[in-house]
Amino acid sequence: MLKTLQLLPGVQSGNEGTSGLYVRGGTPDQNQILLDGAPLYNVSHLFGFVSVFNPDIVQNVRLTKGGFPARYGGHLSSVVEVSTESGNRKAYDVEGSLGLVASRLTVQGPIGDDTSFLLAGRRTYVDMLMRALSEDDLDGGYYFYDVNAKLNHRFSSSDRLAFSLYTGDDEFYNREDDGSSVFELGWGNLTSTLQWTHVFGNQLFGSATLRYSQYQFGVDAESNTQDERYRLRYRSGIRDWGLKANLDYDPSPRHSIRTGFDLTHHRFRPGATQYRNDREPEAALDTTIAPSDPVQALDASLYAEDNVTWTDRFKTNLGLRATGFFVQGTSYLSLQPRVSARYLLPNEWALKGSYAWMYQPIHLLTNSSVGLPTDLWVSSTAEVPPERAHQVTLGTARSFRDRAYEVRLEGYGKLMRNLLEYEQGAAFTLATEAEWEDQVETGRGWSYGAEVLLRRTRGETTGWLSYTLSWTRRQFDALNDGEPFPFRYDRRHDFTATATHQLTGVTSVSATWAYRSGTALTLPEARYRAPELGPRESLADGYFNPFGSVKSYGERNGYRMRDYHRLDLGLTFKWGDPSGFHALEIGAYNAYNRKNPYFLRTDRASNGALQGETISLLPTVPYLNYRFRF
Amino acid sequence: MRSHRFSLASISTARPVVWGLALLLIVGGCDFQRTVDLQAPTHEPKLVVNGEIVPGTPWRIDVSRSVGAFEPGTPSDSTSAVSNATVTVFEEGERQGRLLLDSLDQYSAQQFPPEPGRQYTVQVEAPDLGTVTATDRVPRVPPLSLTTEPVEAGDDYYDRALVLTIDDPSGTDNYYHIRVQKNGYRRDSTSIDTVGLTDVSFQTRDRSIIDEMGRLVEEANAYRGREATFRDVLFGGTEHAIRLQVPEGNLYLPNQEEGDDYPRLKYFLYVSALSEDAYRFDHTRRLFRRTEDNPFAEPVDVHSNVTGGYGIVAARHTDTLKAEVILE
Repeated sequence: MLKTLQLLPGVQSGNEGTSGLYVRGGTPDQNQILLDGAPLYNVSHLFGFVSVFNPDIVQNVRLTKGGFPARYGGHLSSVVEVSTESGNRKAYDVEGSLGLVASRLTVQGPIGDDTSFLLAGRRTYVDMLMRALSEDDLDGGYYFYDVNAKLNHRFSSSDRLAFSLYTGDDEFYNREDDGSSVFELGWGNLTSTLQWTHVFGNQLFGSATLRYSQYQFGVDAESNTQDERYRLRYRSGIRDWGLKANLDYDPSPRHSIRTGFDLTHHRFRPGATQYRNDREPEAALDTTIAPSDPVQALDASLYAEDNVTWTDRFKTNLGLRATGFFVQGTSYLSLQPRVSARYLLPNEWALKGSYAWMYQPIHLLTNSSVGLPTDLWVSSTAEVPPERAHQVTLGTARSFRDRAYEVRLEGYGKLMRNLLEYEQGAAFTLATEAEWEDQVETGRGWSYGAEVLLRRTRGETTGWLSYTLSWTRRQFDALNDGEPFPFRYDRRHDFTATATHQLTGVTSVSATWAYRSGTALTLPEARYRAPELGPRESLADGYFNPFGSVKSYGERNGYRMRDYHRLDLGLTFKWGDPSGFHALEIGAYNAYNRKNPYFLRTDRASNGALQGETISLLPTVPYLNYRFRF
Repeated sequence: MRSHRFSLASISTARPVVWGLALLLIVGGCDFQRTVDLQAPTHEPKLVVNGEIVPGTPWRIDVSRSVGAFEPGTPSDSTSAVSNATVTVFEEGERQGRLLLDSLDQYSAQQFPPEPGRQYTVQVEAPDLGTVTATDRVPRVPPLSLTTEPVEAGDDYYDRALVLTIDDPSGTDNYYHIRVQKNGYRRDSTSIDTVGLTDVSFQTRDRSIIDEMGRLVEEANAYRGREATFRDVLFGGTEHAIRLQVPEGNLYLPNQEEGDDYPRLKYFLYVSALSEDAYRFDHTRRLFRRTEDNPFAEPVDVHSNVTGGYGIVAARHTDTLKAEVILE
């Protein structure tokens, strides 16, 4: 699902295969991703190659990347709302798929007249297969699983209650048979919402949502050998409790008012390591390295939107969002105006424009672009202020041939402040000795560009062409000598063509081709002598201190990796109807085996020179999948 | 929606697609070599100028050329040295004189030694490498004092504490570096037996030093090392005392039984006031060394004040404090 969003204009992917969304020059943490209204803080399985959303139960996905209504807030770049199915109220359904590495199953149906349920799960089983096929007594591997549960109850025609639960974990483990060594790396989300909706009358209705969200990452390592006994535990994570209420009032068909509040209590745990070492004969070492104590914060927002259709051609949405973020005795207050308007031009062209002031009091610290589970969610504090962004958009759109075709053109400009980057030399380590606030720099960024989308939604052949031309820069006083530098995913060109053609009533073929300008990264450009300064030998006998060698990196993100392009092909045989079908899907990812760069590795040769090569991960990868529903 | 039944005809319709996919898998899927050599960026060599501006000591400047990161060569060996450069020193903008190439293949001069409080510019010109300059001002060491005191009971490793007091100047950002050495000796009426000058590893709980140098894993509020750099952020413009715990260690003197006195230990504390360039170089150099081989670490550019080239020409002013203790 997230991979599909990455094909839309203005949305870019990070490294190959990863789920992170880079929307209009923003970072993945600037996207608010909601699953049935609950925020998800890590949307990746398998280090980013699979998203946490079970495609069998996703009912609707809505991406907002500009012109944000006032009801949205807390993140700078986009809102992705994922709604799952509510459960079939009329009949029982069983749907599933069997794949080479994972399978999934969904069951849904009615409970009485007014209640429905949905239960879905999936799990990978590579670890089980490897264990079964291994000749050694292997007890190690990797797996992930997801469970989604939903319960809907209709009390009356005007009252409904919905409960939604998601839990999913990734686990990488390796255990020695004799128990001498254990290593476990795990991370996962737990989210839950309880939503009540009530219709007060023809013109007034409302909803209230209680939500819980938790993301936790942990490492457990233990060794019990003759020489050494140690145990290491690392934990980091974020936990939210939230309450949100909306009230919608429609005084006339041309006028609607929407208002509400959103309260969230965050608890951040930026990382704590417990380490115990009983190595003899030295004294036992038992220590907890928790430079950053858990941080609690309250995020409170009030908003109001006024949606007015002034004439048949002109309508506006004006809004205001007031936010207070309270943390460690510090208050950050903000008023965020939102404006969007649409004007219908002659010949059915629509002209759209918007302005939004966005505000983000939580941040994700990351050393990599991969979306590793080690990425750390942290709060704004007295020393680290919330991120802010101003975004303007202007665009036009039109549908053709009875809405079978659609074309959209949009330009945007975004200015971001208080962005965070790790400072020079900062690195994630389990036993970090420095507080995260001491390892980051704040700066600003800006992005501007133009996006084009041409889409065909009906007919035997459907699909779209999308193109984005964009520039994204960052500027930090303490980085790159204070000069602006390209954002890592400053991609000048991003083009996607995707098409599905129905060959027969049963058979369809699909193809997707994507092209992206190369990723920017920092490479060393020179090596040179650097002395050991100070009163060393020089004090004693006047001898000049010895030299070492250091590297100069030149401009930050000044080097470009190779351009990225890839073709995916698929063939689907599907027979039956939506209420009961069988489908066989075969295809190939990266069909012409492009070696797209995933990361860059440098080694030092014997003659002192660095040698570099880009490593690509995925060759042509075939897939075979069987899906069913009955 | 139309309902369809599966039939072999469906497969035959898609036969070209199936064959196409199979062909791609055979051709593409067999290539498991997933690396591509990097197109290394080109590099034009630049002048590298390194040296210290230390009051009371002769000028000594090292001039070399940089090597492309992806090109062969060792910057620290003699092949990178530049021996045909013109090196000129300016004090407060006034030309002082030229430094000449010496037997160490470095540029030096005994005349016009640097003085505290003065600003110096080193200009280096070399054929094909252009002209570069580096400028720094020599700081002044503030009033310092050193005393010793016994450590608290119960510490079985550290025997003594050196207490350094710095009267930090106000109105400026000040940077310091300390290093401790010791020399043990016994004196009699005609001679002195000495063990020679050796480095001392000290431990301190001073917050300024811990913030700069990092802390011990086993004891979060302590730093241990032979030297330390720190700033006056936490004590700017005030008198600040730093307690350095030091061990006496086993003192072996050849003629233990001779002499007319108990053996003695003399501690040497070298306290340097650093220029900002010297501090920034020291800070980034240390960071570079710590993270050089960590692929997950953010890259570190070591600070340079050489305009148009690389390297560091940084000023320091060092005072040596001594404290003597008798080992009874």
